Amino acid sequence: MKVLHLCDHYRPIGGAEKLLFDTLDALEKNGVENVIATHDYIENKATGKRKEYIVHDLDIYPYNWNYLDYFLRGAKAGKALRRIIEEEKPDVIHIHNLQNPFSISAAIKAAPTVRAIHDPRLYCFNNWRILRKTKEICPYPLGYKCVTEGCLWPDLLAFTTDGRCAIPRYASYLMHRKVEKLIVESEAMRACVLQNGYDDARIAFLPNFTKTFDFDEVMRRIEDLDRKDENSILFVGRASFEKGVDYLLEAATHIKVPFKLYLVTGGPETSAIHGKIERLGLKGKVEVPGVQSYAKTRDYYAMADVVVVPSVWIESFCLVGIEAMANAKPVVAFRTGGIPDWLVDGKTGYLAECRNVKDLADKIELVLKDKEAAKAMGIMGFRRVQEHYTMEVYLPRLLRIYEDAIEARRKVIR
Amino acid sequence: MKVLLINPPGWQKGSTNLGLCYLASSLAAKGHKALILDVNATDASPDAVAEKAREYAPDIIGFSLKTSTANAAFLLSKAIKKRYPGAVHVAGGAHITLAYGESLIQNPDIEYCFLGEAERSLIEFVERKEKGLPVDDIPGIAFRRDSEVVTTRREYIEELDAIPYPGMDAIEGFSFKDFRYPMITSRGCPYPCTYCCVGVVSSKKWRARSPENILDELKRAKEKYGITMFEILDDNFTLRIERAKEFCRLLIASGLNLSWYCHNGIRADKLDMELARLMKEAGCTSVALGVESGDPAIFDSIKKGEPLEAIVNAVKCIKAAGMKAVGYFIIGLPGDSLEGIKRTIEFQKSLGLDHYTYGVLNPYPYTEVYDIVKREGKMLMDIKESSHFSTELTIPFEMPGFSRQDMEKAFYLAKFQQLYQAIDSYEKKYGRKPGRILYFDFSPASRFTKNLSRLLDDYELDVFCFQTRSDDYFKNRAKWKITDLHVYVDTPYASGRIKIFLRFFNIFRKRGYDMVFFSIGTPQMLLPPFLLIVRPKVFYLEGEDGAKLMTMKDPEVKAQIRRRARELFFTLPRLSLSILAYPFLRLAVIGFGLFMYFKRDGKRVEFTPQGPKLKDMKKDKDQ
Repeated sequence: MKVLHLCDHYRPIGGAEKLLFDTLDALEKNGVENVIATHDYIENKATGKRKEYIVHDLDIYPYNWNYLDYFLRGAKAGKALRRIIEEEKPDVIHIHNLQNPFSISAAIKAAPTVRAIHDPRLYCFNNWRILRKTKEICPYPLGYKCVTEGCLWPDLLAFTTDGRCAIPRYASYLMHRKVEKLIVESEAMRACVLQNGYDDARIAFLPNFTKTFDFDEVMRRIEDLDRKDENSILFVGRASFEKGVDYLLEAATHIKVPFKLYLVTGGPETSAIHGKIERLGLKGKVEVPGVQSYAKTRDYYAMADVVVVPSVWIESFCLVGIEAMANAKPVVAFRTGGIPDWLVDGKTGYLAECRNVKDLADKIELVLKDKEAAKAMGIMGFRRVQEHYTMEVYLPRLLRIYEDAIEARRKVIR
Repeated sequence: MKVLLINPPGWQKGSTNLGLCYLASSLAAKGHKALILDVNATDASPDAVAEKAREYAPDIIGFSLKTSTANAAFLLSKAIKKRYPGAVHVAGGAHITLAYGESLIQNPDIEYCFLGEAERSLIEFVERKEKGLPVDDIPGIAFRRDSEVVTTRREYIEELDAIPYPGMDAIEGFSFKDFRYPMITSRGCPYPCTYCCVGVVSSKKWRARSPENILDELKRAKEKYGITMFEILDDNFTLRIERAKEFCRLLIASGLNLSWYCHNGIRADKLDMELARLMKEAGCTSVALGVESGDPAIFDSIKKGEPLEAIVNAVKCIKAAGMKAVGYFIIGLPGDSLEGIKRTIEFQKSLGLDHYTYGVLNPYPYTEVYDIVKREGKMLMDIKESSHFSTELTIPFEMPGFSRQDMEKAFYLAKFQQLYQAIDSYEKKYGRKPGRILYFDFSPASRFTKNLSRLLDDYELDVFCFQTRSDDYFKNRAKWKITDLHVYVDTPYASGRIKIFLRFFNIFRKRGYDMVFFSIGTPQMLLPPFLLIVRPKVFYLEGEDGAKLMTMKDPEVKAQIRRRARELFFTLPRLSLSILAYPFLRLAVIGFGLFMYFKRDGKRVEFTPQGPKLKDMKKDKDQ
């Protein structure tokens, strides 16, 4: 089988991209031929592991006022993609975070298409489903609430990037109704996709996977790296509002036992985080090692007593959680999005009420106070990952989705 | 036996401690277990290192000390001793070789010092310790006995080919990504330069590896680590020119296709045209020369043993061969002064170097300049507190003819020489000092830019730096006091950047500058809009061969603005269509908003502890 993957970012910057690279490796190990077409971001570099096309403007959006230029360039990118598809003749096209309607349309017309939904940008004008006015999680479908809640209308008047992008985004939203399979990673994501009018028959449920390790090796690492005389709390993820570092720092002020918080993070809010640490008087209690490679992050997992996932948006899945569990660590998280799918409350960690910092602090303390119970939770998490979130579970299901997509297209042609 | 080798923090980031790698491979060859903790790279806290040491449970812990990392090493040693008292602490490296006495006396945690090269002495030490034999007569060590410090006879390794190749694998968490493979092809230097400690550390006797042996190491490194480039860190790579030529010929014949450079500096009088051409052919991209001073009197006084003309010829050879020439200069050599630095700068300009670096002298212990500074000058800090590769400008001493303030001024004069030159030429041209100056630096604000406005306190100086997103920047931003105009532009989109620039251009226009200085690297496309909006009377463009004074009336400036206008003209049809279509697009987008407003069907999603639920919005009270 030959699969053409379309993606915006082709470098390991976040969970979605890590999953992409892991998926590519897993597919190739099982004899699937992968071809990549990615946007020409300066950071996107060919890896040389497979056939890779870096396409100019593949994921273009009308970022400036020159709409005409956008149409010309977008159409040119669509044409380039069509040529690639003609040359490569893929059996199926797998779209990862890509929004440009010209490219999407070229893909849908040419071959059976599968779309992986990693975040709500497919059906949200401001990307994260967080209401612009109140910063609350948005429960509404794409529609008039986008206007009344201020996510769309002021932009239209001021004609900023989001406003300009609204029509292409809506076009992309409509086009995705024709995609053979929409891959959702969690029940929450499925509900959101259904809510936005996509056909249930086209939705394929496929939770993420992570690399798993030998139990003895994981335990040995913990034994080697665990700081016995320190209560270590770990956060891994992007430094941005939706990932909830702010809430975690606030929760940290409520924790009564001595602790050390490690933030393996980087992103738009990094400076704000440093400011907040000082403001809340947490200097000395919080260490920010910055962005780390996965190998190094594993050291932090091994060292930590608890991993906290304080996301405050509708997490599509949250790969960090299962990574922590794969490293036999208990997880404390807000009950939001896809997190309850993998976090069994009271067994592999604790769920706190979303955005309730006091509750989060209590749950963290609960883990820190009883290290034996925490260890048992970690082991249970490790087993849960081994059972549900491994490549061995993921890959056959993904191949099945590809086959279903091919079959669905065949039926339409007949 | 288990040996833990520690590279303390305080040295250049991204460097590899090759000495420790040599020790690790020599130990491994004899069946001992060695692990290197590169604390300089990881910046781990002393407690974390101590914990690591406790977990690893070594029998011997070795520290590699340079003068600027010595204090950090002693702190680490103390922390480890507290948490894990079971190991013997030993130290080596350049600083220990120079100052083993005071290191042993002041730091009771360090029990033995290894002077000079320790590949053999450390192994003998480890083996004797393993067998429980006395170690006091091992060559090249120093230790405490009662109140005295005992040293044994030192031996230098003659057969360098016999030493196992350095083992980078022993460094914990070492990444081979974008790795420049460090190489030492010879050791020692016979010259008595007054500021240099190599003669004491690596001996005055120059010993070299055979070209075949060097090539074999490179081949293995390419196979094992997939290296694409290497750097030669020798103290004196080309001392025997024929050997260097032979190495280059072998490297060419091997077809290894590696790029390399000599940034540790070679001697100018040990380079001829043939060698330069061979080096270029063998993949060498740039060669550094230790020029130190362009003032003939000072140059002669530092006992380099070569004439200043040799530098001029060497630069010519390097450039004629097609390589980049790099020059290193020292501020504060005995006899140096602010005027002397000005002469050095003139000399450096005449050389036409591709890159140059000025650093303030660190008088290392037991060098001749150290004695001179002790005798005639004044140390402003313990030399161990100075730093070789600093994030701040540190000036460790001052001399009667060269005060601390002057040294600082000299450093900035050298660093921002084109800006100073521009100010001078402004004064000459207009007969008065420029009032308000804008320094436009397109690169991220460097550690030195932040001091620029302080140094130029006679002038009202604004510094504008383009800042890309980096954690380091965020950490330091609070400490910086450049000017209000220092700006951070983080939007990845061109339109956003243009918006920000236009806003700043407007501020610049209102402030009205007498002089604007564009540092090297300012994108040409930014200049026309800047000039048209701000319309500065005079501005300077920094270039390879000096800053160029320009005014709006210059034909070159006019030509550039015309060229941009022409480009604009040819894109005008498309642009005008866009402009014409703009109101309609606005209307379309607003219409789209209205369309969305009337799209009132749908369900809201609620996330309950039992899972997500969809509810009809028509029944919703909110409506």
